[in-house]
This record gives sequence, C-alpha cells and structure tokens, in this order.
Amino acid sequence: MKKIFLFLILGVMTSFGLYAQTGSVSGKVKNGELGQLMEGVQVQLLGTNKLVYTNAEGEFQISEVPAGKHLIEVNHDGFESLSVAVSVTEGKNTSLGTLVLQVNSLLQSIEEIDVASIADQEVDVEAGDMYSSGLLNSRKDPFNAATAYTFSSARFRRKGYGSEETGLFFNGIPMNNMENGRAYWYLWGGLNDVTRNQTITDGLNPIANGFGGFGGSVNINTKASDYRKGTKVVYSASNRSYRNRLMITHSTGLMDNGWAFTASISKRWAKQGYIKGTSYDAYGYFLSALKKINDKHSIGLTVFGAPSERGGSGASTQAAYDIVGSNFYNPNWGWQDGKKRNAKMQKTHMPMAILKHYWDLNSKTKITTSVAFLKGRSGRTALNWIDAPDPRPDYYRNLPIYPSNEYNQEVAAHFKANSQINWDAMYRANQYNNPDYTKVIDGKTVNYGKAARYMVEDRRRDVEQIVADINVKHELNDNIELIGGANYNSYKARTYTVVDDLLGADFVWNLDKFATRQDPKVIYSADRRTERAQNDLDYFREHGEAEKLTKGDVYGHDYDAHVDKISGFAQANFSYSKFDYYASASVMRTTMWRDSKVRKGLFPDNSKGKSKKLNYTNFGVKAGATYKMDGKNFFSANAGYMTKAPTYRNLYLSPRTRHTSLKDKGQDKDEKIMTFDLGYAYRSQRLKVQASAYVTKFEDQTKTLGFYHDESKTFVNSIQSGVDKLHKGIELGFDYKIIDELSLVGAAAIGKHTIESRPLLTMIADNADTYAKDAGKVEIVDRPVYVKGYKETGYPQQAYTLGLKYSSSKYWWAGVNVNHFRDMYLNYSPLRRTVQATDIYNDDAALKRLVTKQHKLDNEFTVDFNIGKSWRIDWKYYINVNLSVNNILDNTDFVTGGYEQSRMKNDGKLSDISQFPPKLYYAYGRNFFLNVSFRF
Amino acid sequence: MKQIALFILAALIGGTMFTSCINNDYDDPTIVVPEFELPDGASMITVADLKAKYTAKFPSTDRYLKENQFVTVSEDVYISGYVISDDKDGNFYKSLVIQEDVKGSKPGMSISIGEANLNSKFAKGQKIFIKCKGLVLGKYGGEVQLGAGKVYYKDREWRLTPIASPSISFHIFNDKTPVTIIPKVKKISELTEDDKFTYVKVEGVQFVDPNGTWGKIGGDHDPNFPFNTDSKVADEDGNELPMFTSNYSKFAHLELPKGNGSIEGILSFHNSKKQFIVNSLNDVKMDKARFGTVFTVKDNFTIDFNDVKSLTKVTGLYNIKEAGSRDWLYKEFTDKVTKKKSYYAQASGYKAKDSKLVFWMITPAVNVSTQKTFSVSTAKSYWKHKDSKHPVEVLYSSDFNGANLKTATWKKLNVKLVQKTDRDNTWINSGDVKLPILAGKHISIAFKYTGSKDETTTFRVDNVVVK
Repeated sequence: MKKIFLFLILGVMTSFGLYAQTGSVSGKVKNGELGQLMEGVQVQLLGTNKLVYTNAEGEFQISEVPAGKHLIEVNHDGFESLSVAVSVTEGKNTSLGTLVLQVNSLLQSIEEIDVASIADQEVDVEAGDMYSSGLLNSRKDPFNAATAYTFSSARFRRKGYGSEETGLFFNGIPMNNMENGRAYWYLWGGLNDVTRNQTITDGLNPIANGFGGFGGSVNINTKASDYRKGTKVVYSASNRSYRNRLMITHSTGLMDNGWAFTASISKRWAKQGYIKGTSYDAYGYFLSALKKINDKHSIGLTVFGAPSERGGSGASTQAAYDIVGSNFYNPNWGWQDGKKRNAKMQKTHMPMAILKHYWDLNSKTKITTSVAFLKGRSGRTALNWIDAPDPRPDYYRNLPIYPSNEYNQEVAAHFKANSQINWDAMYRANQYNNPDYTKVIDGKTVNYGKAARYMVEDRRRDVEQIVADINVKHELNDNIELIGGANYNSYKARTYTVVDDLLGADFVWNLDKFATRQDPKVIYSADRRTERAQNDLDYFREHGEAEKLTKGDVYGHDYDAHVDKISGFAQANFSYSKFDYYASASVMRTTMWRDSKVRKGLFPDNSKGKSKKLNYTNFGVKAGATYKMDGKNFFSANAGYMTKAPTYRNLYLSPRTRHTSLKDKGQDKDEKIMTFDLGYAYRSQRLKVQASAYVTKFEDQTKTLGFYHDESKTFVNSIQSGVDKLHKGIELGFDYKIIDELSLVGAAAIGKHTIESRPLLTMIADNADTYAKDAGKVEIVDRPVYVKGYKETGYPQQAYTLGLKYSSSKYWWAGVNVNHFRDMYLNYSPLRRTVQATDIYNDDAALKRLVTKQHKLDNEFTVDFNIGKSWRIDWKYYINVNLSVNNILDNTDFVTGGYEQSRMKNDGKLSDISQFPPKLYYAYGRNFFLNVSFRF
Repeated sequence: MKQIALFILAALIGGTMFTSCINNDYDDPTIVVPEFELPDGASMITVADLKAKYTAKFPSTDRYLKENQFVTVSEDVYISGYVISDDKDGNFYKSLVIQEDVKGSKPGMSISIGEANLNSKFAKGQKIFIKCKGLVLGKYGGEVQLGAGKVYYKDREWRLTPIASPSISFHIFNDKTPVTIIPKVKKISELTEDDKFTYVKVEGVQFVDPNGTWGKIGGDHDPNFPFNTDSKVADEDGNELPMFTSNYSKFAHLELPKGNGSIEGILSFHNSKKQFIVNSLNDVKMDKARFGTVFTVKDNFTIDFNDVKSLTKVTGLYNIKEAGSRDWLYKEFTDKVTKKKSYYAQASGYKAKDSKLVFWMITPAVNVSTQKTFSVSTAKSYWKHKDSKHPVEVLYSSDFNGANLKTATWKKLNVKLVQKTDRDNTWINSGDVKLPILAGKHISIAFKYTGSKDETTTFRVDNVVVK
C-alpha cells in the first residue's frame, strides 16, 4: 500500500518533469547473507520503462533519468525486494552506494523445490534415443517456466534440437560428451541441492564460459562461497525411476579465515521403479572448498561423483505389450533366487575434480583458470549366448505375429507365461550336455571345466579426461565487455567388454560367434577359417587356441577412443540504454583416433594399434541485438553459423572391429548449422509474454545406428550421410496475474521440422570385409533414402500447456496444467525407404505405401498437478513440503516415441513388415513426486 | 529445537539404512535332474498311434499339403522317446528326431521346433515326453511330423510350422539324464521302413564319388535349397544310400572321406526315398582301403568298357568332376550287322546348364621304367566347341595317387584324336604313341573334357591300350 502511494506521488512528480533535463543513478547490490556482490539483479525505476540488471561486479547504472525524486525497486529471486527513494540532479550521477538485499529464506526455500531433475530421467546414459528432453528450468523466461516440468514427460525438445546443441558447463568447464556431443547430467545425479546455482542462457544468447550451443547453454556454478550457510535435509518419495531420495547438504559460507566449504551427500534408491524389474541404487557425494587468499586471488576445488547402479527397461512391440497386458512390460528381467534380476544393469561412477583459480586483476579484468580431471567407468550389462537359443523373451519369433505362428492358438498364452527372462534355464544350459574341456599339457590332463553357452557381459566405457581452461573478462568501458578464452580437452575412453557372470559355467572362449558362422558361398582355407573367428588373433597365434576367459576378463573388442579438442573463443558484449548487441566467434580443432589392444581375426591388418589420426578444424560465429523499446517491450534478433566435425560415434563405421571410418569413404563432411531467430518479450507487473520465431538449417549430418541384421546374420552399423534438416517454428509463453495470488500460465511450441535431403545409406557388417547385403544379396552402399519431406522423429513438434498457479500469501501454493502434444513420429528405418527394399512390393501398392509411409503417433493430453506449503519456525527452521502429480488422469496409452525395426525379411509372400512391428516407448501413467525439506 | 532437528535427521538417516538395501547378489539356482510324471487324466500313446491320427484321416501321399490337411491333437496324450539327432554341428536345424526305445526297434519321428541349438536342452540320448494336446500333425516329404501350426509356403503348399520357443516348456519334458544310444548295425540292403527315423550304423561303405565336400559350398551352394543330396555311399554289392547334408553344417566345407568304413546316423525318408543324415563327423570312420577303383600300378592294360553294369557313370577308372555337373558315362552301341552290343565311354555337355564343365577320366597307373606305347579310339558328334578349341586333352602324370587331382602335375601327351572335320560317329584310332621312359616310375593317363553350356561337343573313347 505504501508502495502504491509513493508510486502515485512520484508519478505525478515525474509528469511535470517531462521536458526536464536528465541525470543518472548508479549503485551496487550486495548479498546480505554472504556479503558478495550480486550479478543479474533487476533494478527498476518505478513509473518509467527503465529497467536494468546488475553486472558481474554487482553494479548498475540507469541513465537518462529525468531530474527529480524517484523510487527505485530492486528485485531478485529469493530475496526480499527493496525500495529506495532517490533524488536525481540534472547532468549528474547520483550514487546510491551499496544496497544490501536480504534473503527471503521462506521464499527461497519454496523456490528450491525440485519436482524432478533431468538426471533422474536419464533412463539410459548411453542409448541416446532415450535421452530426455533436457528442458531447462529458468524462471526468468515464461516459456521455460511453463514447460520445464510439463513437457519433459513427452520427450519434448525445444526447437527440435538434440541435447548436442546445448552447451553444458560445470564451473565453466565444457561437459558435453566428447564422443557424441550430447549433454548428460548423470555425472552429478542426486546432487540437486548443490548444483542448483545454474546460469541458463537461452538460444544463441552470449555466455561467459565459451561459445556455447545454438540451443542455449547452462553453467552449473559450485563456488563454495556462493552457497548459503546452513544445513539442509531433503527426503523425497516418488514412483518414477526411484522410490526414495535423501539429500544432506551443509555449507559454512565464507568464514573469517577466508575459507568456505560445502558438502553434500545423497542417496536415491528403489527396489523397483515405475517399471517392473528396474532397481535403483544411486549415491552422490560432493565437496567444494574455496580459499580467499586476498582480494585478488581465490582458489576453489570441487570434487564430486555419483555412483549408481540401475536396472534397465526396454522398448517392446505393441503385440508384446498387448499380450502381457501392460504398456510398461519390461522384457529385461527374470526371477532368480526369489528376486527380480535384470539383465541390463547400468553401473556408472565418474568422479570429477575441478581446481579453479579466480584472479581479479583489477576492477575491470578477471582471469579464471581451471584444470579438471575426470576418471571413471560406465557399463551396461547384457546377455550373450554362444551356440544356444536366443534367451530374450520378446524375440520376434516368440510372438503370435510371426507368420509361422499365425495358426498357432497357443503361442500367445505361452508367451505370456514365458515373457520374462528364464535365468534358471540359462544356468541349466551351461551345465547340460556340456562336457568339460580338457587338454593334455606336459603329459598331464588339465580340466578347464565347462565353456559358457550363456553369460552376462558388461559393456564398458572407462573414461579419462583432462581439461584445461582459461577465461578472461575485461570491461573496456561502461558499455563494452570483452570475453575470451581457450580450452584444451583430452579424452580417452577405453571401450571393451568384460565377462561379468558365467552363470555357472567355468570359462568362455574368446571367439566371435558371428564369425564362426559359415557362409557356404565363401570358401576359406581351414587355417583362415579358424583365424577369422578369433577375437584376439595374436593370442591365438601364440597359444594355438582362443583364450579361455573367466569373470573380469576382456571379451571381444578392447579399444581406446581418443578425442582431443583445442578451442578458443572471443566475444564482445555491448550494452546501451536502448540496445544491447553481442558478437561471438570460436574456432576448434578436433583430433580423433582409435587405438585397439587386440587384433581381430576378421580384419588382421586393420584392427590393432593406432589408426590414422583424423583432424577437423571448425568454427562458429554468432551475433544478435536486443532493442529495449521501453521497460516493457523487448525485441531481439539473433543469427548464427557453425560447422561441426563428425562425432566419434558417427566417424568410425565399426569401431568394435576395425579402423575403417567415414573418411575412408570420403563422407566425413563437417556438419553445417545455420540459424536465425526473432524474439519479442513483454514484461509488466501483471503480464509476462515471450514470443519467438526461429529457423534452423542443418546440413550434412550423419546418423549411425547399430543393430542386428537378419539377412547378414550379424550386427551391422547403418550410416546415413548427407542428412539435411530444416527446423522452423514459433514459441510462445505467458504468465498473467489474474489477481495477486492467481496466475494463468501457458506455453505453445509449434514447429515444422523436416528432412530436406535424400541421405545416402550404407550398412557395414561387423563380421565381413564387405558391406552388409539386403535380402536380394546386393550390397547396401550409398543408397538414396527417400525421406525428403519426412518429419523429424522422437518428440512432439507441437506442444501446448495451459495452467493455473495459485500462491497464497500464507506460503502455500497449488497449480494445475493441461498439456497437449501433437505431431509425434516414430523413428523410421532408412532401409525401408530405399528403392531396392521396396521393389518387391511393386505389385501391391497398398502394401508399399504401408511399408514406406512415415508412422505418425496419436495426439495426447495429460494433466499435471502440484501443491505445497512452507513453514518457518522460530525464524531458524524452515520446513517445506510439496507434492506434484503428473499425468493425473493416468493416460497409459501415450506413446512418446519408438523406432521401426530395421529388420526386414523377404520370404516369398511373407514379406510384409508386420512381423517386425515398431518398438514403442510409453510415457509413465500417473506418477508423483513428494518432497520434504528441512533447513536450519 | 535443535535437538528435535537433530533427532529428525538421525531418524531419517537411520531409516534409510534399514530400508534402502538394494541387493543385487543372486545365488546360483540348484540344478535338479528332471523326472517326468504323467499328469492325471493324461495317457501315453505310441509314436505309431500318433502318426495314425494323421494317416487315418489323410492317407493320401500327395506331394504338397492343402490347407485343411493338418490334424490338431485334441486328446490329452503323450508320446515318449529318445532323442537321436544332434544339432551341435548344424546338420540338423530346428528339428528333433526321436526313436521310441533305446534300441530303435520301431520307427521314430521328426518334431519341428522353432529354436536352434537344441542340443543345449535335448541332447542325443535324452529321454523326452511330449504333450501332444494342442500340437499339430502334418506331413513333409511324405512323412508325418509333429509341429504347432501351418503356413502357406511359396505360393505352392501348406507346411507345418514349428513349436515356438515359448511353447517348448509346455510341451516337451526331459526325463532323467541322457543315455548312450547304441546304433543298430545294418547293411544298406537291410534298411527298411522299420528303420525310419532310427539311429543306424552301416558298415563296409564308401562314398561313390569321394571328390568334393560334405556340403555344397562356393558356387554350388543354392540358398533356396542349401543341402547336398548328390553324395551317396555304396557297399561292395553296389547298394547305394544317398546322403543328406546341410550346406550350413560345420563340416560342410570339409572333404569327403576317401576310404571305406562305417557311418552312423539317422535314416530319414523323403518322398519314400532314403536319406542318411549324420550328426557329426565323429560318427564317420572311413579310413580303410576302398574297394573298386583302388590305385593300382600295372605293366599294361586294355580298357574296352565292356564290363559295364549299368549305363551310368564309368566305374573302375577315376571319374572326377572338377567343375560342373557332368561325368564320363557308359554308352551302348549295337552293331547293325552282328547285332552284338558293345560299350564305350562318352563325355558330353549336351543340355548342360553349367557355365563351366571340366571332368576327368583317369586310367590305372602304368609302369614306365621301359618303353611303353599308348593307343586309343575316339569319335565325336554334335561338335559345338568354338574356333580351334578341342573338347578333350590327353594328359599324363607321374605323381597322381588317386586323390590328388588338383595338386598332381599333368603334362600333355600328343595323341591323334578325332577332329571337328571328321565325320560324326566314326572311330578314329590314334595309332601307337610312345610314352616317356621314367626309371622306377609309373604314370596315369587322363582324358580331360573341357566345355560349357555353349560348348557341348559329344566325345567318345574306346579301346584304351597301353602295351
């Protein structure tokens, strides 16, 4: 009330000074609890359109202020707002000195509520297809605020970008995966409370740490002095990937001796998550220390890790879901020892340490130097079988849709009864009719026991990474800021498979089961025949037989993937009263090679040792401007162009077996990305609106996919090169306060993301020197894939949400959102869109159309709900409870994506694709997240 | 208040410790030897009874089945038997053959199963019980088989489909551990319908044409019929038994044994014709000396081809295919005047489909320490060889041993043969040709026919003499 009164008075006063001369107001803003200067604080000259934010030194300046008395309001999330009266003199600057913002602990504790974190949703750290949308929760942006929690369950991707277009930084260190460029969050899974301090930048907007991605950037800041002093305990219950979470965090704040410490531990666990057979056992540990040596130098160290072990779920076909009676059927588990044992366990632990030196050279120049080291392991177990039946319960021949089962009345019931893995049968098969292997050595018979028919293997990727980074920030003057930096990133991932469990057998032969299969067409000498089957030819040549492996031994491939990157960037930010501009450029050199410890029998001359080093030099430029028409209306435009080297995963055609790369085919082209966007934002007390339109063109992308190929009877990699894509669309977000407590929020993303080229498809088999062959025994090499005009797949191209938010002044709140998703498509099989594959359907136009048309998924609605309350006790203790329920109407038929099987079998009239229906992913039905936190 | 806070904290942490133990250790299952018990209400029938359920309804022996020519077993009956097939080496694929008792005293049958590597569940010698209710009887190659459904195959016929993998545990039950199957020892001539789908050992046999491999590999492999049915074994009495070998078997690429001996396997029937299928090469012991074309060294010989038994492949001489499908054949000639029949050897590509034809006829070895002479009569008809090419070369080798055609050194022997310009069907004698003198050595003389589907000249040989 007082504010309004002052506002009215001031309004009247300023209207008199309409033609008066102007002055300026400046000042600094400081954190009342931690004592440090605050960046990004909103400072508004009430009654005018003048709104500025503080810079990195906490300083602000409002120019062209009409002379006279004004009221300035300072606002920042989590702090009590502050109003200051100021008297401005013509032609002069009035300094307000340092304004101290007090923490609103209760408000802040409300805002710390996290409903679900991205890391929790990273179902599978390696299978990129399942990677969640990576939506970022930035409260500044009404589109982000409205969509962060509501769209992620539908695998929504902003602008249709993959996470490789997001620049992910941890304390300024680039964290995008070096092999595939994607942004993964699992490295700090469960450490939500200490990784909350994020700088989120939308789209092309400039960032301080580097060039960033075209899809925006996030920097997670863990400087120990930035945490609020105190202890926080959080317990969460959920029925999603885990059931329970416990997090304890303690921060000392910056102490008198110049030290600051923050430590956090967490545990997330579930015997079984939403999907059956998915156990979850994850921990997190974190320590950040900072020593302020003097006003110019500080040194910070952050160490963290998140060891986890989880049971995987898998997509299956609708036919299987229907028989089992659940769209959440998980074929990966079976009973053993009275417990559900999952064959696909993901075990990850990648600890990281970051040492940083903060050097404030002077008030204008800051230099930050960092060294980071990451070393850890990740692994996914899987079943392997050698001269034994396929143990996967949902193997396509086990289902009634397999033509041979068409007239078999019993298969559906029998499949239902045998729809989980039969571990006992595998143990039995390892013992049954399996004579011990014996060998006479020096006249004595040595018994090696039984060779495994079934085993569990652990497909490992052990990473060692060193990063060195320097970042210099210099304020040329009040309007111009220059930022530059250099980064060296050296990555090595040992990629290999380990014998994990021999299931009661004694050893397994280190042989390539696919190479031992005979192709009657090809005649080899007896010696070559034996050699071809060797996973480790050098061992065989030395010992005369393949190695007998036991638990912990390396089976099959064993190579290091090397990726080295050296990059630099330079950026200038210009800030004036009406316009902000920026321009940024980067250059990066990437060197990649493969270094194998084993010589593969199939490829003796092209598998062992170091491959040729492949070098790529790439660059990026971007620039943009914001026109601040008044304090309420903002217009912006951004443009960017960059080239990207092929990723390691796409570059090597069959890295498990040999050095062959896209370079050998002359198809290792740089990917080119061009993008342009226009934005409009409106901000007033009651209404926040954001609207934007974008167009992005991707050229010469490469897509690789590995799968089992029926005709070749082996694993193949399918490579599509020359994929061009065009993403166009608009985004809209708003937040309208109907009354002070009640807001209407909404967001819409309407995209048209299409494929614009006919990529060339090549399939290369793991077990042959040649390309894989199709059913007509013709090699699949450089075949045009007729997908021009196809829609991009795996996410909704249109997503809408509309919600009501109620926030009581008594510190309780509730919200409800209705979401709608449209234009979702299944991932398509490229092989099916080639002339050769569809020729056999030429006499049946309807079937041909069925085989080649793109599979569109149903439109879906979901409703989300959340409610919460905070209490303050004794001004010292804060308790916070909140509950969110997603998909409250329990829509369990929501297909979020999936893929067509790449298998196609042509067998006379049995050639239709119905025996290989697509594999589908479903969004969780009704699911909840309950959070209780206690802070003191 | 602080105490309360700490208490809550301690309670939470303590609670976590108790409730959050995720145990991913599993004890190995105990593997018990299964003992089958017939369920109440079910009854045992014999394999013959089961087959009769089909043959009683469909006695016809049509080659291809019609859609309705299948019988679903509706009674709760079981059969039992001992597994005699072994798919470890891939010669059996997705089928089990059982005989009713260990001795194989009654015919067995074949069961179609939709899983490979069945030896990991149903080893040779395993006694199994099969719950037939719900399974389907059909016929393949004239024999009743047990499966689980039907499918229309190649727009031509209905075929039985296998028992799908998830159904196996509902229909097939192991009883105890595998026993040793001792084969019935029989002569080829003694094999009858009673031995159908039983485990048999035949002795004193050898491959009629031991050149080549067990399966058809390389260019001979036909993906649409990936089997070799051309090889056969024979005994000294001339009784033959055709072999049936998959080109995908692990021994498909290995050379057939050259010697004489015993072979164990399963006697199968296909459209009333016998086919013998071996499980493994361990069951083949053919290392004794062959009868018939034994590598012999003579001082002289005369071959007039009049010792013919039947008008098929020339026997007694090495008759070897190097490429293509043709052999040297016996042919008959009746003298118009005397009406007396006589015989000669003929090579021809007439109506051949092979892109390349190379086949050899090689004489017994002859000692050439002293001067020997060679002569032969040749005739031709339907000359199709182009340009100046001649279909036949006469070669000799001093290191041919009967089994090393490809590695032996062959030299040309200049012999006057019938030419394109000669009259058809007229015998031309070569006259005496001097053979080389090689102290302490012997040579074999070969007639090598080379042609193709386009060069098919018929060439005849008679009265091969070395003196």
